[in-house]
Amino acid sequence: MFQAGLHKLTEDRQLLERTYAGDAGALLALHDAHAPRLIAMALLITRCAESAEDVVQEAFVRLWREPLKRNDGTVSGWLATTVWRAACKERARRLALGGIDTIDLPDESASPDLQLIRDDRMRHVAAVIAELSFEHRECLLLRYYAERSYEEIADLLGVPIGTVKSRLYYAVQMCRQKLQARGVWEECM
Amino acid sequence: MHVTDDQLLQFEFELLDSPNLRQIESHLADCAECRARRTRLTHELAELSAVRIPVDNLPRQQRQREQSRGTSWLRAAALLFLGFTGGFAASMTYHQQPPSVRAQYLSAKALPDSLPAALGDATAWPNF
Repeated sequence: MFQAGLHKLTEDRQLLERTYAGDAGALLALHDAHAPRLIAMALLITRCAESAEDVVQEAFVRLWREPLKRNDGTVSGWLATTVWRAACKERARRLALGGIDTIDLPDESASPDLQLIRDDRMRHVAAVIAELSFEHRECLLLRYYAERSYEEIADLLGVPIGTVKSRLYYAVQMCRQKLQARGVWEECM
Repeated sequence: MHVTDDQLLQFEFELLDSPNLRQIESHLADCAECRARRTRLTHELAELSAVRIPVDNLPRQQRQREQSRGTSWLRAAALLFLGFTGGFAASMTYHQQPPSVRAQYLSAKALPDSLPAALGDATAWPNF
């Protein structure tokens, strides 16, 4: 698994180098590799398919226009963090326009945006993540979609590391209970 | 006595105090059943992180495909544009934000002269 991860990092780096050399096909390849995950993360934050698509697109445009610096980390990490920040901003903007919390619905199963996920099982998984409160959801997304460490998440959210771990524990516990209740996952002790 | 799922979750997220942590580590070392349940938890976490939305599933992409179907002049026009779902403009309109166009082809002329050079030597990129 470590070797596979290292290979992915190397591949991303090579594609990025080709992008900055003028190869737009390389940027497309990066997009194809990362966009499905990033769009899912953005959708689970903004709860709007078009907003999710926009923030992901803007991240790639920015990647192309502003070369990553040495301390910007990996391509994947930079993209995920950039998308996360933009998605949170978009969410806040939509909430402000709405005046009420129209985004965090209690039952996500029938959400039209989640119908974009064709696989039934995955749609259930997305639905239970979407049903989490925002503070628990963003922790889970930063950990498992943006692949940030506990320390990085704590830094991004401005909370102690212990809080990050507690929120993750609660988020995963809730997701497990709901997926077991839905019959998607098996119950156990 | 076996480890509960709740204890496994606390173990996973480093929420146990030292005595309980050592107790569970010791039990996992000796109990195949609990190790199997820990493996299952790992698979469940992987599944929580596996939601993907292919770009082609997005409504905007589907509308664009429907609009361009059967119109050869649109396909020809697409050859002149550099873009993908984010939408890059042709060089003349680079700094604007054109509508999204699924990239089929690219034109070197559409890339702005100000595009930065390749990262160059290894010192320009972090070593992994």
